[in-house]
Amino acid sequence: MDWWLLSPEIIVATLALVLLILDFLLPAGVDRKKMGVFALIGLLAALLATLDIAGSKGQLFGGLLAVDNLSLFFKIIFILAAICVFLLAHDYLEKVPGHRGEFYWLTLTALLGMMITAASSELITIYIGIELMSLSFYPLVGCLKKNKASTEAALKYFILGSFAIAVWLYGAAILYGLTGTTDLAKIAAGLGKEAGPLMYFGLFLLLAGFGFKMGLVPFHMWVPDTYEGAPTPVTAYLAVGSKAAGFAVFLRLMFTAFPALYARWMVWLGILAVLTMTWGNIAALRQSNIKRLLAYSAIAHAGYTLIGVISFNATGAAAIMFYLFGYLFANLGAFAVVIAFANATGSEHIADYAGLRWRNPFLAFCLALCLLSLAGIPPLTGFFGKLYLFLGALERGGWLLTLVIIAAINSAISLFYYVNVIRTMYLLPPKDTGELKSSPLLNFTLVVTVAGVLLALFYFQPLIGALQANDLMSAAWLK
Amino acid sequence: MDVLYNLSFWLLAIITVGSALMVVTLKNLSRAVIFLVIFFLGVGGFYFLMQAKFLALIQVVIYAGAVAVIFAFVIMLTPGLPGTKIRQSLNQGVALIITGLFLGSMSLLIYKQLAGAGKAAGIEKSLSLKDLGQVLFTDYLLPFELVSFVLLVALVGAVLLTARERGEGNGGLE
Repeated sequence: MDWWLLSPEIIVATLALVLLILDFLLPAGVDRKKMGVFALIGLLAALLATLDIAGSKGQLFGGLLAVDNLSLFFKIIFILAAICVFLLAHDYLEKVPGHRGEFYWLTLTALLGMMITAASSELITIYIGIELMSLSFYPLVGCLKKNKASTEAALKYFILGSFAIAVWLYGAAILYGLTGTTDLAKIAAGLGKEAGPLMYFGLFLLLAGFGFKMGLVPFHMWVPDTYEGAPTPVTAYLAVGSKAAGFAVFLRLMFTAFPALYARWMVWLGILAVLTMTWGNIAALRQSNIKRLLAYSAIAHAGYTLIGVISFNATGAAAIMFYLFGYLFANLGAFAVVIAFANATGSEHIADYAGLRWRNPFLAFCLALCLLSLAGIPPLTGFFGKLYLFLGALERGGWLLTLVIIAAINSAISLFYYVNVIRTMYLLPPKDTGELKSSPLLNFTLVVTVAGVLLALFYFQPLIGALQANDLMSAAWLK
Repeated sequence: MDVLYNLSFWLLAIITVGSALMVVTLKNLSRAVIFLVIFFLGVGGFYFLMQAKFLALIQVVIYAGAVAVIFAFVIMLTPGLPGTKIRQSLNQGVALIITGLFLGSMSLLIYKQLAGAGKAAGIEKSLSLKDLGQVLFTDYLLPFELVSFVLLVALVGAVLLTARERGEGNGGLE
């Protein structure tokens, strides 16, 4: 076994443990923000380690963990998300008095859980990865103890999350009972060409559990409340990291274990995708709170991303990875502006964003760019992501064409509410004309994310090329 | 032997399902916890019937023992909770319909599966303590170690959510 392939996980786990011990040992007077700097350095090391092993392939622990392009790419997404969250949280944590060390620890363990989830190719490891991630998120969501919304969000997320994972486990137990193995590749082999009704039921339960993690309609009830109530850096982390982890493992499960049942599950997922896109966008139209708006937009985006799974080809898989990569930057940028605005004014209402152009042109410009990228306007990353998802679906053909048309109509609907925010910022007169300051660190984060959104033209081709050249799934049936 | 097996199976089934029903319908939480203990013991009995002796032992020690005691403590320590009547669900009718649908489709599917060609996969390994330890420390070493992380996360998360902030007074005694 090549331990070097495990280096990103080892670095993150060690970093988390060292921070936990440091938090315990350091006297109460020492500013815990220094731990954030330490964590950032460690995360950069983990990012470098991941980039170093990019392109390699391997099976660790007798096939429990897979090191391949899919898992490595998602690990890069997660680590980037964690870095941005640390940058965003630095100022925000002023509001969380006292126990900051735990915040860093939980963020890192959530990262570890995501990395394990994305890499695991066996049901028990998937379960433990998901639980590690979710259990880290529950307290993070509720860490504003004095805030009723935060506590409510955590409670809702916790109860619904536990229920969803219980349903998932039931499905996994049925799969194990029918095939006698928890290894995804062996499940595919044991499945053969046909499956009994019980197998479909098990698959359906697994789908419900993953649907909760990815925020698909009708398993989305927790998303708006949790996103709104959670501390904003945690919301950004949830929206990017937790969802990407769900998609990574879902992609692996469907592509590795259930290719034989494709004809059946593509219909289910198609219905889910249409419901998710449409409901997310229609509900987003009526939101007056920017975090709720972004929550519903996150639901809609989960619907688009699902098209990549339904396409069930290499293009679709690569498209999901690229799409989530662009989504990471656009979403984190949008949340960074929300944090900067809330730090200065304490408000999250879209109406209060009126005239932001005069109060802080930089923030207004960044938010506008990120929202346009989320809407999928041409030169930005979001456009290429969507284009690629649609290409994958068209390659598959059949009724997926209808799906692409529905997704395109939905993109047009989504333009309404994204542009409405931009109109508020640029055209409406401000109620309060005072200048709105944002901290240098937030500005730096914004520059990074906006660079990610803008430079898509330059990394679009190489990235997609690299994804395809290294046969992504390395499975014969994908060709 | 067969008669004895069947008899104990049905006895356990009645006890388990009956106590589970009591747990979700009783309005007095203290009584519900007592039935929860009986339910846990019934499930432990099933494990025993299936010759998973270690699992049965764990079920009794951890669930019927530790978990139920924690439930009891929480109920006792929450002011005004012991002895009060609380409706468990806002809408028991809907819950009943959903549960019924789930149960019905599940039973139907299992029946169909067993009637058809599809059978459950056989278990290759026995479930003795020795085998369990061997599997945990060889094949499943990584998940096993990760579980320790999960436990630590739960501990620290509980601290984050419940500990008082610095300078917030001592124990709320003021």
